[in-house]
Amino acid sequence: MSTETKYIIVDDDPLNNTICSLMLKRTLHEVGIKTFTQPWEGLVFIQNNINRLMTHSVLFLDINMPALTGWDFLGHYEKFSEEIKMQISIYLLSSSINQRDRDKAKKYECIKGFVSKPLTTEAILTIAGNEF
Amino acid sequence: MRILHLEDVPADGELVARELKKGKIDSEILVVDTKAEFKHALKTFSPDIILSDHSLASFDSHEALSLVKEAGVKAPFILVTATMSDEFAAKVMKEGACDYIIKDRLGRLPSAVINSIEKHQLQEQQRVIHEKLVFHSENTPLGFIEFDQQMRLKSVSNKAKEIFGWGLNEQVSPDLNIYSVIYEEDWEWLNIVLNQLIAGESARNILRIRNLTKDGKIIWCEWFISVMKNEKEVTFMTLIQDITENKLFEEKLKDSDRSLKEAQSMAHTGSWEIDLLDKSEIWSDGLYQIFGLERTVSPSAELFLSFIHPDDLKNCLLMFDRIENNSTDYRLLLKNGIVKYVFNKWRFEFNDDNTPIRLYGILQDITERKMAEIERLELVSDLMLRNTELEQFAYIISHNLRAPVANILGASSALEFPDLSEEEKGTLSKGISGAVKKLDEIVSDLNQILQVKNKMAEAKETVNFSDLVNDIQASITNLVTDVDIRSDFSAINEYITLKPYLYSVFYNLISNSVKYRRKNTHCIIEIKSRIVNDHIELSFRDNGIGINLQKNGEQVFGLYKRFHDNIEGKGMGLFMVKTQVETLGGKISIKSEENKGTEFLIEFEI
Repeated sequence: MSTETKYIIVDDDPLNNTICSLMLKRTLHEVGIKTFTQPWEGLVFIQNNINRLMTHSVLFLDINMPALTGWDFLGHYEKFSEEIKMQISIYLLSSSINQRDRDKAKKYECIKGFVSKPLTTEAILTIAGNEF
Repeated sequence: MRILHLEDVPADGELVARELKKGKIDSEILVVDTKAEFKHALKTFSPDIILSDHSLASFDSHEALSLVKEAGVKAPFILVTATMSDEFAAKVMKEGACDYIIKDRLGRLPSAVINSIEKHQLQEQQRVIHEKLVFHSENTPLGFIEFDQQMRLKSVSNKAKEIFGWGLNEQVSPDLNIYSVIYEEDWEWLNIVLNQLIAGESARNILRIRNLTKDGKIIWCEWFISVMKNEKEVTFMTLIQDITENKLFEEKLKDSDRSLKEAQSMAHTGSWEIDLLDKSEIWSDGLYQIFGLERTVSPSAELFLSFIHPDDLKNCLLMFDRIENNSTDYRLLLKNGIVKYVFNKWRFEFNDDNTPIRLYGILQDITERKMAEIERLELVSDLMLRNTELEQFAYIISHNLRAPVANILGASSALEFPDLSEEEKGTLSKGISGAVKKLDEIVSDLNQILQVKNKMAEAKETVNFSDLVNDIQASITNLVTDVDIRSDFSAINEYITLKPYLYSVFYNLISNSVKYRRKNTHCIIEIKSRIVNDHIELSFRDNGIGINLQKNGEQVFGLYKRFHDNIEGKGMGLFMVKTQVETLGGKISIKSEENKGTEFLIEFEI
């Protein structure tokens, strides 16, 4: 796929990643997507490829993951350079989002919004409209 | 000696003078023969003795005696006359003459003069003494009465009249029965005392009895009775003091003392005071009660301190040593091992130099209140814990149930896209059935968890730790071979509990150690039992990969919490272990270091 990566999905659940990819492709047609079931790999990808591959990108981040949770992921992400962070909008993707998560999310400037699973066509179009 | 002689026959006057001289009475004699001269002499001569003829030309001895009395002259009066009848003599004597001499027998005159003067002086002395006595008896707060063995009242002083409510001028019948002034219930008591006095068992006695006043009022009096006995009669001399006010005060004091004791006992309070100069102490009954001590034990600071719980003593001493009014709560450890909570408040009294001289304090037994408070705090913290647990549980359940539901929703809507490849269709339907299976699993997990929480009523049995470990080892080492389980249950090897739960706890902990062992390291699991402060402590220690507790500490025992994504598991094991340990009334804690190992400590009450 030669298209620039515009969507990154980090979720330990492979089925969710498949569903998200399918929904994005069917909604937006030609679009660059990267999915990671290992959050570490996602972080490494962002750090290594930001200048070469991406323009502006949307990151869907799951909160509940073993070993490295969504919050842990954000902890590492925050240490990245401003240059990297400017290019990425993060949306928390979770099967259920409660008030505690919303309160916690306020501490992170990089979080642009919440998306409830499953990712729907409407949600994709709204986000695409805001971001691109 | 100055002698006033009333005589109108000069020869008789000379005869008298000669007789006196003969009798060696050194005297200055003034002879008068008229009423006017006599009156004047009474005023100016101040005679030591008066001699008087009976019948004079102008007046007689009878009138002369009246003049003497009238002038207030105290000198004895001797009648010196020619003849007189016995009746006449008796009459004059009765009127106040001291003696009489017949002129024919003047030889008796000197001795009569001397006797009269001596007698007069004696009388005078007695009169003064009597006056003093009367003065004192009327001016002391003591009333005076006399009564005889027949209980007849013989005399009553004015003060006694006042005490009994009689008027001062009231004539008290001399034969009034003494019982009439005594309250009936006290008659017997008086009789006992009087009998002792008569029997000579005691010469004097003091008793407190109730008396009746004239208008029937009951008053408390103190009677000082002495007994005077002679051949003829027995007389009880009694001093009486009205002590009604004292008695009432005493009663009030007793009452207030009683109410204080009552109040202290009801408030579970004792009080004490220390004289800081001589170190003497007074403890109230209430304080003895709190300490569980007999009243016979003498109070001391050392004794007091010996009751303070050793763990609280240091703090207490720090506070007591500061010379300032203060209060604090602490515990007592009584000799029988009972622990009491007390509230202690104290206050210093200072003298003018600002030196503390006295220390007052109260000690209140607040055990009941404290226990209730502790129970309440425990209840609250227990409720808060349960509430948090429930919240977490609800959160986890909603989240974990929602995850497969979201997958099913997502996958089924994706399946509606018209141009899906076969591969995509396969992945999605597999995903749906996987999610459904997951849902089913979660529901059965829930079932299991709820069962643990509800199954307390099951029968307990004696569980042998070594047997438990052997069973588990057999089932695990079927699968894994390089595991070394070293157990030491020498301290305690048995516990009465619900066996399936304890088995599950042991199984989960041991299988976790196996599951999270370090690669290329021989897996060693050490299991030990110990007895610590009435508790059984079980320790499970491995040399596995460990958990980062700084990061995950709060969540180690959480439901569906997983920390290692490369090892299979659903995050139920430690949640179940904690639930089961707590259901069995125990506590579990964890120590762990990454790449070193993990140790779980379980405490059960014996």
